[in-house]
Parts: sequence; structure tokens; C-alpha cells
Amino acid sequence: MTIPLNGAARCGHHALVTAISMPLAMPAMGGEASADSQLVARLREGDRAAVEEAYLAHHAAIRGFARRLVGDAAAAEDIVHEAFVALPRAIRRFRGDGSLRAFLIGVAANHSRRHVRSAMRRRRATERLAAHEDLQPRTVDATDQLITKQLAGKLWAALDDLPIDQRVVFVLCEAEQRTSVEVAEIVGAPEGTVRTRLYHAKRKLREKLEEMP
Amino acid sequence: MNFDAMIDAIRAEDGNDAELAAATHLRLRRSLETRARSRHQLAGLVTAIAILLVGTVSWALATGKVTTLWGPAPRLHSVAPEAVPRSAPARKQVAAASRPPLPPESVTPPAAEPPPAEPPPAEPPAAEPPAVVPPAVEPAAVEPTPPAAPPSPARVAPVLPPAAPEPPASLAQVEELYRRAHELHFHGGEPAVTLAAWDAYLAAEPNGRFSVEARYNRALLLIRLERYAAARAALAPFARGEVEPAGYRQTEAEQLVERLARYE
Repeated sequence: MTIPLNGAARCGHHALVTAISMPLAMPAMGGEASADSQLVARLREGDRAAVEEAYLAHHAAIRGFARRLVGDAAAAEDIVHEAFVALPRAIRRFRGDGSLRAFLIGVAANHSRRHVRSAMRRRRATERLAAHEDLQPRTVDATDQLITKQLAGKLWAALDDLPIDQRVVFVLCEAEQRTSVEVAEIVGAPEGTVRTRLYHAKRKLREKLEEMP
Repeated sequence: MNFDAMIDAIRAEDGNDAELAAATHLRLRRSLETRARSRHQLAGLVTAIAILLVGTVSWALATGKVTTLWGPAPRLHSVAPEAVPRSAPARKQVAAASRPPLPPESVTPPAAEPPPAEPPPAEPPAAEPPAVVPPAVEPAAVEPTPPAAPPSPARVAPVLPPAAPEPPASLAQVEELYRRAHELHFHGGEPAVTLAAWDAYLAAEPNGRFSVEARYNRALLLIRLERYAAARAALAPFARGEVEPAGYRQTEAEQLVERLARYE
């Protein structure tokens, strides 16, 4: 099963179906679900090797989500680490009706609150330092990277003013292009709540970005 | 400002960083090992405490100390022997059933020292008052001390009864007397001094809240002081179930009386 990429099925309204906007995390396939259930059974038994297996299988998706959420590599690594350390205890809440990866993203989102704040402080400090640096990219690629970095930096700065729940929903819906069903499963909230959070998040972001120079 | 371009910029962030992934993997492994080690240490500690607790309780049950320390609390009022019904079978059985059965070897009271090979000189029974009578009446000096034996430390400090009946003590004073006797009895007090403390308490409150317990403890101290006849006399009402609550330490008292009879 794949996620339909039409706008109605996704929780966002602005995503374009382009090569870059392909879903970044696919739902579990049949074989993967079977492997998941075996892994989950071992995790429930407290098997330490199972935690490492889960890490090797899902760390990239969790790290990607964490980075998009906090905009800071160090904070994102902390979130990944905490999510997997908490997994043996958190797995008791896993009902098995979704994928392990989605569940892990939910665990990471739960552990992201304080890291979002620390990343925000670090970003503001870095912005002040960067204002005094001579940033003259020498190549096109470097210029492109710089622009991407600047745009992302502006969005993260605007996201810093959102409540964590709206921030998580925005990242999952818009940056990761997940369906509202998936996002509802990850954040443990009804679909309607997810849509409401996304609506408010977008509205606030637009207002905030318009105020920015 | 292009909103979609910003979202694309965030979307470009991915989690495919091999070096960071390896570093976090190592960090995760260490965290899991530390947690497992902590859990094992905790489990070991809990096991050790459980073993210690079980061992202590077993030892206390085997030696009878648990019944001395955790025996049923006496009632507020001690009733004179004649007022106590001779038999209260149901309550006796309940009280007896609530205690673990003790082997004959375990009837020695906790504070009692091993009985000597040679029985001490017999004490004239007439000199011993009934145990339930306030101990102030019992003159310790009446008991003959073996002349050949050197005076033991317990006998160095003579237990002198009050010269005259004391005026009724205030509640605070009585409590203080009890507290002191209890402290001495259960925290290594000199037997003779402890006996004197119990006597002082019983003189102040012969039928008080803790009188039965005090009399029983006093009887145990008499055994420690090798005054077996006096101890036997003091334990007799307990052995017969003639104290209130009925059956208070009755089984132990019966066994102690039986053993003490051998040394008279």
C-alpha cells in the first residue's frame, strides 16, 4: 500500500506532487509488518539486541523527522537517542495497528519538547554570530545550499513561535507529507484535531513570516 | 517570501548521515548496557535484602525472639488473678495458634543465659510472692546468694524494693518509668538495673496499661539473674492463663516453668 499523493488524501493543501515532495516515510508493507511484529515481540521481552535492530531499521526516518522538527543536528541526535532508549518501556503502549516506524516517530515527538527549546536557543545564538561572519559562497552549489539553509532557517525561526503540538503536526503533514490518518496515529489525536492544528499552524506561520524582514 | 520553497528547504533535511548514525548507535548501546547493569545491581540488592530479611525472621522465629518483641500488646487493665476466668479456651487457642510452634529447645527466653550445669541453691518458695502481685512486695534480698560463688555483676547491684508504698505517680511519671524500663530491657540494659526499672514501674502502676507485659519481662530478667524460683513463681500465672489478656504468652510461660522446675 502506498500513500496517495493527491491533495485530498494528504493533510496539507500546499504540497506539490514533485520529485522532491514524494513521501519521505512509507507505511509498512506486508513483509515489513511481519518483521515488525517479530521485532515488537522481542522488544516486549526486553531484548536489548532488538532495540539495536530497531535502530538500524528505522534510525534514518527518526533522524529525518527530528531534524525537520528542531532544525539542529545535535538536538536531533539527542531526540533519536532518547527515543530508542525509551523504546523498551514505550513499546508497552504499542497496540500493533500501525507501523513500528510511525510509533517510533510518535515516541520521538514526545521526547522533542525540551530539545526544541534548546535548539531554538542555539539557533538564535548562531544567528547573532553568523551576522558577523563573512559568508561569501564560492560556487553555485554552495550558494544554493546557503539559500536553502537561509529559507529553512527562516521557517524554523517562525516554527519556534508555535506550540509543540502544532509544530509536530506541521512538520509531519507538510515537510514529511504524511496523510492526516498517519499523523493522527503518530500523535495519538483524532484526525479532526490534526487538521485543526495544521490550519492554525499555517495561519500563524504566514503571519509570522510576513512580519519577518 | 516563498512558503513552499521554505518547506522544500526543510524537507531537504534527511537522516542519512552515516557518521552521526554510527555515533548515536554506539551511544545507544552504551545507554542500554548501563541501564541493564543498573537493573541487575538493583535486582541483586533487592535479593540480598530479601535474603537478609528472611534469614532474620527465620532466626527470630527459631529462637523465639520474635514472640518476645512482637507479642500481642497487653490490655489497658490488668485483672487480678481471681477475677480472671480460669479457662478461656477459644481465646487461648487463638492466641496459641497465632504464634509459631516452638521446639522445646527454643523456649529459652531471649534474654536468658544458658542455665548452669549445677542448679542454683533452691529458694524458699514461701519467700516468693505470687507473680501477679506488684513486684514491690518481692524482696530480692530474701533470695540467698550462693556463698561460694563470686558475686556476678547482676548481683552486685542489689534490687531494692521501695521502702514504703509510694504515692500515686502522675501519668507522665509513670510513662517515663515505663519508657526507661522498656529502653533498658530491649536495648542492652544491665539485668539488675532493668529489673529495678520494671519494679519501679510496677510499683507506680501495678494494674496499669503495660503491667502484664512488665511482669512478663521482669520474669525473664529473673531468669537472667539466675533467680529461677522467683522467675518460676512469676511465670506461673502466665502459664496458667491467669492474666489478662488470657493466654498472654501462655505457651511460652508453660514451657519456661517446666524447664525452670528442673533447676530448683
